[in-house]
Amino acid sequence: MATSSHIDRDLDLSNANRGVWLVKVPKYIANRWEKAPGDIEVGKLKISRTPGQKAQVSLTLSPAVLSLGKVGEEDIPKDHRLDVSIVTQQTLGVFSHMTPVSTDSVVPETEKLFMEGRIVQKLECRPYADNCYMKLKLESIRKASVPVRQVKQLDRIVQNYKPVSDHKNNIEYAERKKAEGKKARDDKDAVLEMLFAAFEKHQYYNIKDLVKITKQPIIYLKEILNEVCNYNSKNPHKNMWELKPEYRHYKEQQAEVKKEESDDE
Amino acid sequence: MAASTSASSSSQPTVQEYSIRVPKSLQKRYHVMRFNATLDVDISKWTQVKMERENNMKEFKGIDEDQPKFGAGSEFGREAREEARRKKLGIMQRKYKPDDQPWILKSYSSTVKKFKGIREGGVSENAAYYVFTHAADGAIEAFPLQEWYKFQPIQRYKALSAEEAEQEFSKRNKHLNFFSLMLRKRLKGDEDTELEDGEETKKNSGKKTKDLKISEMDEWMDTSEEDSSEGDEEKDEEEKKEKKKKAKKAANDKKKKSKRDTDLEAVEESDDGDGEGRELDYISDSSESEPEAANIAGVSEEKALRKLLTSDEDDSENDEHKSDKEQSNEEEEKDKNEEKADENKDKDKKKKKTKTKDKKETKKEKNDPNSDFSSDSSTDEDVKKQKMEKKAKKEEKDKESNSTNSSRSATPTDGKRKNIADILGGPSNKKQKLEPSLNYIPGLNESGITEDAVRKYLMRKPMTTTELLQKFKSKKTGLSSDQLVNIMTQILKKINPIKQTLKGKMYLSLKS
Repeated sequence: MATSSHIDRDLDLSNANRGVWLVKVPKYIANRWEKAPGDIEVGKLKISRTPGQKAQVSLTLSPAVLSLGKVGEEDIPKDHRLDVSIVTQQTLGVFSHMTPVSTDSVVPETEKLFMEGRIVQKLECRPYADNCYMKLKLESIRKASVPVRQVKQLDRIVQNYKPVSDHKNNIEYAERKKAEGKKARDDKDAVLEMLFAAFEKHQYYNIKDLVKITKQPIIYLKEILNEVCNYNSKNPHKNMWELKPEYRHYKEQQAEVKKEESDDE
Repeated sequence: MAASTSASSSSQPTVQEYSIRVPKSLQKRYHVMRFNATLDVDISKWTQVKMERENNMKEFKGIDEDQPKFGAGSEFGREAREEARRKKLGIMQRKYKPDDQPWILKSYSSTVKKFKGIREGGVSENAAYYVFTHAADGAIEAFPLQEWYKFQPIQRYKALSAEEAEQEFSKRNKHLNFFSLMLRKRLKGDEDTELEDGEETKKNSGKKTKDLKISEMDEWMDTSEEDSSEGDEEKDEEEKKEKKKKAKKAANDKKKKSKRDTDLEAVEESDDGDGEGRELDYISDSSESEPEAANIAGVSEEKALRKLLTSDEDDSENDEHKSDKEQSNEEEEKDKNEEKADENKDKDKKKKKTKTKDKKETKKEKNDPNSDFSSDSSTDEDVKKQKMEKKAKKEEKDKESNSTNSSRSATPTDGKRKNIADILGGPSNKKQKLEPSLNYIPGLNESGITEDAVRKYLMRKPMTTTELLQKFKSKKTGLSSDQLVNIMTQILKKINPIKQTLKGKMYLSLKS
């Protein structure tokens, strides 16, 4: 999914001609609407036209939404008026981005983009300054004025860090090491086999990693490495071993490898 | 729920009621795309639009991450080590989120328009935005808007930096100047256009016009081979002198000038290249104006000069009657001969010559007691050596030979001045002797035709021989066409250019 968003997708333009309204609503209404289930009516929009006058648009929240609030919450105003204005100086469009809900479905859904329309009108939802709204504002102001941090007296020392003499991980590691025992010198051919296999995957290895891979004592390993490998003492690939040119046959980037060699030497 | 419309009497307002729903069905997120009105974007006219997230993976990862993960050139456990190193340094890397990248919008119509949509913050901080759309059943569906993206067109061209802009601006001036140059050309007429080669610089032509304007002093101008600034000074001097119309004084003046010239010439040899066209220009002029200059000099003085001239020519006494060019010709020929001989022989010869010269000189001294050129003979040998060295140097600088050649060729034509230079102990006179290159072609030096010049032309583009000759003819070499052809054939033989026949004409060309 991470890479799929970089693929360019067609924008579904079937709704591009549709004119939509952009409505700015107070946060408290948005909160309620978010909680409301999708199938109920959350409010009513009234457009009353009087000839010779501007149309009046108003919003009335449904009782279901009004009653959605928690117990301690203030009531929110029921009626709002909507101020209509047109969009100037810019072109506004609405598009939607659909991400697949469940990725485990048999036919994997791809992300889809839809053009939802262009914004033709801007509406601003404003509450009437009645008692209910004032109460709401008062509450919100009171809440905002409460400091986030408070002073509290402690009667006991709070200890949140205890030093540990030997961590659990360390003990485990030591035990494992003990179980393994000392590294034994293997047959040279076997070691070489392992080395070549490793160098097939990567070109450069640190000595520590090779010790881990081959499980040979470091002195013995170094003896073998000196035979078949070159040691890089300079950047880039400082302190790394690579196979001598006669032992390796990397197919691609052969030229580059050679160049690097010459750089290293 | 459908909209219930209640219509009533005209006094009563008509009220339309819509119910609003907030569907929660899909994982659909709504965003706003914002275009500036000046961009003139009409969403309803879009036909095919593609959108994608901008891929900033490279920028995010950095430059060194392009190393191979396995195989040749890869390091074992590199990423883990890098991670460990970063942790040690306390760098916590944020994960790359492709969904946080800007949108790239491509609108296909007759042309492809590209926009980049960058997310804007702070819009929905204190208020929420919803988009209201009509549902199929007449109700209104409200969808919350999540993000605002500001779309701006992507520039396809690279903006110039300050320096680059400056450079381009100067180019613009150049172009304008070319126009004015053309205009000037037209006004001037043909005589100048003849001389103007393609490579002639603007500066050059500017100079030419200047020369033209001061028509009175043309003669003086032409004799002087100096830079324009010095020339101006001279001109002023000369103007006064001319008014007085005293030949002697003028001659003195010339002496002075020539003195400077000798100095200058030494300099000019080393510095070359830019003044190429200009010098050529001078040659042609000087050859023309020569007789005039001679006229100005008094008769007696002219005689003296003649004698001086002959003193330089060691072999033959009848040189006196030859024209300047021929003199130089012979000089060079003689030089050539000398080259063939060993150095020792050369010296011996010279000694002999000097002896003969001395004799001659003594003769002449009887005639012309005031001459100080006796010093000339004494310096002769030294100068010769110097010459040899210089010659070697010159051959190194073969590519510049065009310019050097031109300066070289200028000297002999200006016989009178050369003589004066001689009087003043003139090493410049000798210089002209040393000048012929090893592969010498008679008549080549004064003509301004060199192997290198020919090479240059041939390298530039294939040419027919006639075209090539035309190039040199236009330089007013002062040679007859027969001579020119002769020289050219010799040069071409030496160069041996690639010959190819196109449309029945043989084109010569060279590859560098």
